[in-house]
This record gives sequence, structure tokens and C-alpha cells, in this order.
Amino acid sequence: MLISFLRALILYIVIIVAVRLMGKRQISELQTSELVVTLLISDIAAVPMQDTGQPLTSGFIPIAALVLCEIVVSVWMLKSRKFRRLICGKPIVVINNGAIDQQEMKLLRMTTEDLFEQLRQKNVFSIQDVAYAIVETNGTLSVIKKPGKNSPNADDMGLMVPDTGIETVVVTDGEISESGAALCGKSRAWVEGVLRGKNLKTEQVFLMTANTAGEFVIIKKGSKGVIT
Amino acid sequence: MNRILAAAIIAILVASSCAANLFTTSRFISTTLSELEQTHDLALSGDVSTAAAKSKHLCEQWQDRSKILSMYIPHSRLEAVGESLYSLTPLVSGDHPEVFESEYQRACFLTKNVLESEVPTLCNLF
Repeated sequence: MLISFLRALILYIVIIVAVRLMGKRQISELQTSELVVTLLISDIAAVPMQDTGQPLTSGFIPIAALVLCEIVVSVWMLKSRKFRRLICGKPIVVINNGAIDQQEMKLLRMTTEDLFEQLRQKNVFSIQDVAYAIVETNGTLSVIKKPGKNSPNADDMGLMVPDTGIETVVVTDGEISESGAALCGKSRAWVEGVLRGKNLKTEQVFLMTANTAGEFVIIKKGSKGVIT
Repeated sequence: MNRILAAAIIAILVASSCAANLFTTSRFISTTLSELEQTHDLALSGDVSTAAAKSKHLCEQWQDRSKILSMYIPHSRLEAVGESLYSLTPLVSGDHPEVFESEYQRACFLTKNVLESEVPTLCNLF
């Protein structure tokens, strides 16, 4: 029992390291090769985790080999366009200038239900609104609406919108995040100054966000109110 | 760049550990086989007491070697060799020479099999 527990812990650490080495990606954004490696790693790790008769190295070595391959492939894909196309394929236009390309859909084995489901997920509820729809290499659908069907933005309406820059979390659960503050061009001293100005101690703050323009929002611990 | 460095380190570690594993297995198996052969020869020549002592010593040594080999070889294969070696010791007395011979052949086969299954040959790969 204890052996199984310890082996599971060791394999957990190994898998975390392996996934970190492969880089950050969400499951839905995984390329084909990354998805294959992720599935294989979880499968390989399960065997020595369950079977104590299998040496742990029988799990480590294949995981290391897969991570190695994944890094080599990703670096090679960065260097070579041909290789990238070979591994990932190319984006396919399924709606071209408002017309569905049935041939491409057949090649993708994509049904009209699949297409409409993905369009709905992109907040498009009528095929007549779509100018272009592209199936990306990771399987997601990118949609470009017809010019007349797009919601107008501030530029279209000739409005001047103040640029507040990036908004980041600068205090979380009573702790100042210096990296968050640096991201919006602020410092620890600025955050502390703002909190002093509001008669607050850092420990009293549940959440504080700030933007490049110096605007901030503070939520105190145990309070629903917002201080700006 | 860091990732490439990590990949290079992983490649070196994996290659060196695979080479070390193969080398260790080969060394342990060849030593075990030669000791097994010596025990067999001693038993056939009638030196039963030396053969029994040698066989016992071989079992103890296999236990120590198994501790290292079990880090990368499935335990069932090593246990099979261990069982065969232990069952060989009481047969050294010469009361049942045909049983002894058969068990000796079995121990040799299982021991060789441990190494053969680790060597990267086409048969093992596919």
C-alpha cells in the first residue's frame, strides 16, 4: 500500500516536470503531436503506478523519451515550415466568401452539425453572417463575419476611448504581487501608498487590481463592497 | 533555449542510464551463468558439498543482484530466476541427476532470457 502511494507521488512529480518541460497549452489548443504525447504519458505512467512488479524506470524512460521527442519536434517545427505542415497540417477554409466548401468539409469528415455547433460557440447563429470560417490546425474554428454583420466598435463610431493599459492583480489574499504590479508599470511602493491612502493594511485586502493609467479596484476581506 | 538544454540533458541521462543498465545486466548475467556452470560441473564431478555451498552462495548473490536489476527489469522475470536457483540447491546431492540437469537447464534459460529481453534486437523491438 505504502509503496503504491510513494510510487504514485514520484510519478506525479515526474509527470508535472514533463508537462512543464513541454510548455503551457490548454487541452483545446494542443496540436496533434502534443495531444498524442499527453495521452501517451498519462497511459505510460498508469502502468508502474498500479503494478508494483514493474520498475519505476519502465515508466520514467518512455516519459523522458516522449518529452525529448516533443521538445525536438516543437523546435524543429519552429525552424522548418515544411516540417510544421507535415506534423500539424494546414488551416482549411470551410466557408469561403460566404459559400460552404463542401469538398473541404468532406475531406475533414466534418458534418454540417459540427460546423453549426462550432459557429454557435463563436456566437454566430446564421450561416449568412459568415464571410470566412477556417478550421485551424488544432481543430478550432476561426470565424470572420461579413462586414455588415459585425458589431460596430469605437473606431467605427469615431469615438475616442481612453487607453487604460493592462489591468493586473497587484494584491491577492493579503499579499502584494510584485510581478503583477510590474506588468502594469507600478511598484510595491505605489501599491502600499494607495493602500495607505485608503487606510488599509495589505493583510486586509482580498483583491486589488490596477491598470497602467493608475486606476485601481480594491475588495476588502470579508466585504462585498468595492473601493475605487 | 532552456528547453533545448533540458532536452539535451534528458537525452544524455536516458542514453547513459540505458547503457549503464545494459552493461550491468550483461555483467551480472554472465557472472551468474559462469557460477551456475561451475556448480553444475562440481555436482557432476561428485563434489557435492562444494557444489551445494556454491549453489547457496549463488542464491545469495542473485538476491543482491536482483535488488539492482529490479530497478529496471520486471520483477517477475527476476523472481523466476531466483525460484529456479533456489530449487537447484537441494538437487545438487545427486539423488536425481535428471531432475538436477533439467532444473539446471531451466535456470540457464531463465537467466539468459533476462539479458536477451533487454538487448535492443529486432525480435525484442517488434
